[in-house]
Amino acid sequence: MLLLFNGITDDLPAQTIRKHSINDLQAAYLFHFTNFVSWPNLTTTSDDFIICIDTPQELAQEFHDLAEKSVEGKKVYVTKVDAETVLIDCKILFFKNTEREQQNKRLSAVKDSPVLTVGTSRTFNQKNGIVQLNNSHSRVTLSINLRPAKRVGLTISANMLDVAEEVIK
Amino acid sequence: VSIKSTDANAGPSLLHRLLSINAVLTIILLLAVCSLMIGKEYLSSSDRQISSLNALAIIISDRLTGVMAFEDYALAQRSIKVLRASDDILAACLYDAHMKVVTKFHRHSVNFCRDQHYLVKSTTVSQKIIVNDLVVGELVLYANSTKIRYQLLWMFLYLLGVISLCYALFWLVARWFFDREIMSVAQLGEIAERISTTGDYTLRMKKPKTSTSEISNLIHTLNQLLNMVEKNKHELEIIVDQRTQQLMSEKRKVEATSLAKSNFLAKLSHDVRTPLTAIMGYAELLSMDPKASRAQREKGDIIANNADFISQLVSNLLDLSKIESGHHELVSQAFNINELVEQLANSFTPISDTKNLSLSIKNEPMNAPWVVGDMVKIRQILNNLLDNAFKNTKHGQIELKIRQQIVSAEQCMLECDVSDTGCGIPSDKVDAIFDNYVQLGTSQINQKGVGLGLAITKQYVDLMNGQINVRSELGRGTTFHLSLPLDVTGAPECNTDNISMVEPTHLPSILLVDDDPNCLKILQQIMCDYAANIFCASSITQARRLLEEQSLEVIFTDIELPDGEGFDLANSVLKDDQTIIVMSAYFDHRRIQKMHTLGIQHSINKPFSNDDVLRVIKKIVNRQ
Repeated sequence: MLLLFNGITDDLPAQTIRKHSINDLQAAYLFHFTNFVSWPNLTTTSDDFIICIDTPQELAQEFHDLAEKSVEGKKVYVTKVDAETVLIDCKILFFKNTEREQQNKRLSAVKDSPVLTVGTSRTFNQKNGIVQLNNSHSRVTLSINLRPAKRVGLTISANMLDVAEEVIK
Repeated sequence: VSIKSTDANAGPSLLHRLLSINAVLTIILLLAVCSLMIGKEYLSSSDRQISSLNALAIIISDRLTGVMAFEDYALAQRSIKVLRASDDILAACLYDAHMKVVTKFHRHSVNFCRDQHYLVKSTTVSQKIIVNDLVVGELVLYANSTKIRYQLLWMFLYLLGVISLCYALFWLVARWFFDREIMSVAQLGEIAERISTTGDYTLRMKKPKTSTSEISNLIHTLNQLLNMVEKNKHELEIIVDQRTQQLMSEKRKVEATSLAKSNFLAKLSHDVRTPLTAIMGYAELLSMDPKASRAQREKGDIIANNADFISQLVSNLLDLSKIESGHHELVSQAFNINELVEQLANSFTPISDTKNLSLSIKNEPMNAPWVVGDMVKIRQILNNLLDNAFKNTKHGQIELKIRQQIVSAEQCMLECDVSDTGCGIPSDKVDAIFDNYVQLGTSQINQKGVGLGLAITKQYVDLMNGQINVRSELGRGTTFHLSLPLDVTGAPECNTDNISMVEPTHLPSILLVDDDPNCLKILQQIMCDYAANIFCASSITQARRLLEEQSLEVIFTDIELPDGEGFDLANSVLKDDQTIIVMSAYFDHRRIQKMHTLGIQHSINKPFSNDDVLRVIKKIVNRQ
């Protein structure tokens, strides 16, 4: 991950990067998922690559910085989810400290759309969330639920699955 | 089968040379091929290993992209440890983007990831791990190249075995080929060598059963050549035998002719000189007879001179005959050069007076006047030269210059120049003057003699290892230059030649033996003043009887006697205190040898002068 940050943050020194917050890691993970997950018809559509972040707080600058990147030629667009957001247009939907009911409601809204759902709650996979980020011993680990991913046509790379702490098939 | 060269200096045999050359070339070729094969195999093996490693590195790196992306280093370590299954992999190092070691695997205790030294001892490949165009890490694999080296070593040993096998096969084939082909050539050489050393041309080379046509042709040709040589040799031997028989026959004829010639010369000499002895003796007695008138004495001189000329002519003919038969020898004795010059002066002064010519003799003072040489021949040489000078000079003078050049303590050179102011020699005849029967004068009719003097002179000079040359100018004169090497000696204690008969205390009784009564009378008259008694005998028988009856001290004997040779007296009846003097008109090689054998020291040539006889008798009387 530090390597990724090194690339993302324009060669910032490693020691400096290590002092960044969880937002840094989460932003890096979100962008990095784009390398290991394949979306159906991504190259044929002309839309931007939209990363939606559902959080009750203000959207951190680290997430805004992702907008400077691109995925397979498409400009990354980062938006904070609100009532008017069309969730099915999102390629990645990240739930960060979202209330449980609202999270379940929005997961249900995108359950049939090719949206990579990412959450930080411990029961995120059980609620048909695809990627669950776990904090353990100052490390971030992954749990991946392949069932909802397969249902909506998302393909997750074996490399990503390899590093997953748990894979639900 | 081996052919050994008999020449100690000869090099290695043909077999060894051929085998050595071929072996070296074969080994070089095989080594070159092996080197190329091994090199190619090494490169190929390295390439295969590198390709394999690259593929492995690519596969693992691809699997490690997620690991490196999400920093799952535990998984990275597990993935790397999978490489343990491959025996070829010595170590693997996984670096992050900053080339810090993330995880590693190594089979031995050596830390490959830090010690770059091992890079050179192993095959190394590296593969960068890239995620979204970003290098997130690098995987370096180290493979065991020692295995390749061992494989190459085994391959080298295998090829070495193949080379050895090839060489052994080559050797066997070469030996077989040598036995079949080259051996025939070697045997050819051996037979040729035997023929050259033994001369046995009957040797033949057997045609081998298995041989190439070239070898067979060579053997066939050699045998044909030997047949021809043998045939020619046989024919040549027959011819040589025939020629040898002819030569032997010719030789016998020549020897018979030579013997006849010698006998003829001896007879001629005896028959001519014997009467000359009487003529010269009586002429001299007449010349010296105080009772005779002046006219009678002059007639005596004329008779003596002409008889002397005939005598010299006969002597020259005999000398030339001796020279041609190779029987001429040097008789060395000590003599005084000054005395020789004096004798020459005494001989030629009367002639110069008669011919009204000036005779100049310049005898330079000599450091060593006593020398050893054949005085008789030296005197004859100078006599001939002076005689020629007088014959060819009508006006002016004759000059004799004699000087001695000391070469060392034991040797000197006698240098003589005989010059005249005569007619000279035409330049086209200078080279021929020493030939037989060539005369110097322009008019052959007026010349006296038969042209043998200079020929004999040249032969004598050559016999003495001397040199003679001539310098002449037509109309102005001729100069002969003579150089003779002589041994230097000291003066003898007593020189009897010049001792005159000064009051002899004892006069010997003399026996004269000669079948010519005139000769006996002459000798009696010459010796009458120097003998107590003179007895005469005309044969060996008479002489022996007188020797038994009388006490005789000196015997003068002719060699040719009716009942034998005068030497027989020396053989049979001669006592220790008796002295024998042999006389003959012809002293050939055999007679001189016999004189030496019998120890006879004195001899008198016929015709003799009174002085010749007196010189001998004086020596004997003074010694007694």
